[in-house]
Amino acid sequence: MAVLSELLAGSDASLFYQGLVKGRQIALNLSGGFGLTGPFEYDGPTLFTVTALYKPNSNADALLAAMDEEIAKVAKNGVDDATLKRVKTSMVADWNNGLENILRRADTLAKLQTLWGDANVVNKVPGWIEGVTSKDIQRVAATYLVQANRTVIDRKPVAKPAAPAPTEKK
Amino acid sequence: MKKLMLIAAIGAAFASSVITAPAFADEAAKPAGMPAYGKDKPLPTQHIAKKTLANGLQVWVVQRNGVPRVDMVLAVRGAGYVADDAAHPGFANMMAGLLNEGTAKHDSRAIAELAQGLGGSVGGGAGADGITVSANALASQAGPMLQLLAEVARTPSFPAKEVALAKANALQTLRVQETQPRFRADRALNRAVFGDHPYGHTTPTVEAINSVDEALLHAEHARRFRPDQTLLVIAGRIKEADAMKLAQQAFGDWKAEGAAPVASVKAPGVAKPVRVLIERPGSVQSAIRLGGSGIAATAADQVPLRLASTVLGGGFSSRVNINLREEKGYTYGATAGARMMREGGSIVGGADVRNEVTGAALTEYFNEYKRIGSELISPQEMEMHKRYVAGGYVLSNQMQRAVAATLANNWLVGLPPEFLAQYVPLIQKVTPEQVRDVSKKYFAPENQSIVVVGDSKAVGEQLKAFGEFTVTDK
Repeated sequence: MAVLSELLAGSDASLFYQGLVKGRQIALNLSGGFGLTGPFEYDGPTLFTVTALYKPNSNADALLAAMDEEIAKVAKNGVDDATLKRVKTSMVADWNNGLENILRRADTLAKLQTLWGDANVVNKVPGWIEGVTSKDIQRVAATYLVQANRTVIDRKPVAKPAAPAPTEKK
Repeated sequence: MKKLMLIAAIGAAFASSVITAPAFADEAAKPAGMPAYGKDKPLPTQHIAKKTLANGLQVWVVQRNGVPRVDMVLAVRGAGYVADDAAHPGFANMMAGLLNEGTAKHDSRAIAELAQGLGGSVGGGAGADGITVSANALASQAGPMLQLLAEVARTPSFPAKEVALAKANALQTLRVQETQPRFRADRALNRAVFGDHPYGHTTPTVEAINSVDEALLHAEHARRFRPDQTLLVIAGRIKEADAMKLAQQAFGDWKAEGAAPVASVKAPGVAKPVRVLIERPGSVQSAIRLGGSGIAATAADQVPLRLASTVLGGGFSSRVNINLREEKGYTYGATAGARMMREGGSIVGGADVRNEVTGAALTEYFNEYKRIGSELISPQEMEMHKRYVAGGYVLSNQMQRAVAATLANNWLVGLPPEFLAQYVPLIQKVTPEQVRDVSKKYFAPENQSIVVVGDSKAVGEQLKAFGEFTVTDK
């Protein structure tokens, strides 16, 4: 799920960014990830959230439909080797980068010890990322990213002189 | 109640000194019986290898043995907002953002995917004095990433499709920003301080965004991007010699296209103080800003003024924040301090406060400005803020990305590479007299313009004591 999250919404190279902000040009910006924490720092159920600001000529339904299309493609076809390699490389680099700052390194170790019972998980995460296959991605997309699991918040500010583009959350 | 008593106790402790108003957390925060601070460890220093290529491009390499990553920052002097004419405010930002949206060899998506595959990213950003293009990658991929950085910086193609999208998005972003009081307040204050100088118009207008086309982007890129106005900083786990070689490969054959480097103009040193009330009907808060002329980053007073800014309004324990937030409860956060650029600077203070206390907040600001410019700061308060500056320096420069960015930004504003290592020792030498004297000069209440974004019906009466405000809707 961590790799799928990165593939869908992790960066400017992600499927949602390229599909919604660039390709369909219906969103002004878009970001996504694991709620308030990272993919390796939670205990119990967590949320995969995507936040996007849609353009005045678009709406929440159009964004949802576009995201559903991108998810369906992944669930059906999986992900090609080159793309999967790119996404994994970027995730491992991000994991290492997150440990550069001494405060964050200490914080990460403390969280991993608390949540996993083992601070050494810090050294295992890169291997876990590397181990993910296209089949794994298909499976988690089809299992978790389904409409019955989804909550959508469509926020439209009112009573503003010039209505700004509203925020949409899934 | 407990807090009140604590403050009273500290007040008593300071009774013999000149400090009469807010007490500071420093000594008080330490429980009784705590030992004194240990001796500070020497600050880590960075060795910076320097070389100038035949085309004038400067290369600085900082070899570090941290995470297996290399950070690169390409800084182009004079390419920032300072080069935008009055008809194209904010243009530098759009140009910088479009650099990684297509080159002669790769389209936008291919660039994003290439960068991801190298374990990093590449992208440009604009500041007042320059455009910086930053990249990072796994140490093993430093060569390919430096090539990609050179490609987006030297040969952006500004594809029509991407330009149209960037313009459409910039217009939408501007619409969102226009609803934010903070944005409108800062824009008006910059105008008041810098007038017609480019520093006074760094945010875009609808007309400016609409006027951008591929021809303008290509022409401005050729004019602004040239090796003799550029610095490349490479920091990370890479050998000096290897980094220099990669820099030569990626940038050695780059030639300047424009006739001559963009000449920048000094910002006006004195601004006539103005009073502006920007109408925001029904607002429950006022965004207040005080501002005046400041100094360039290389001016003689810069180091004492930086420390004075920290004391007055730099961190959580600064005077305006302790006064307006902690003691009076007027705001969630209050700041004040100097902003220094290459060709000049500004003094900016501000907070978002409740309607009822708009006038009272301005009074407190001016009280603090007067106090720091007339009374000597106590040794304890001085020490606390010096430790804060030194500690912040150590924390931020443990990150190699920050080292690279700081070196590049210092260079853009005209400071030498040595300034990185000199900064904290220079701050430590500043005396209470210097803090008072620079404060008297630059935080003088009579030199400050006031901008308020709020509801004139709710706050107009309170503002009368501060002069006659021009009411406007922009």
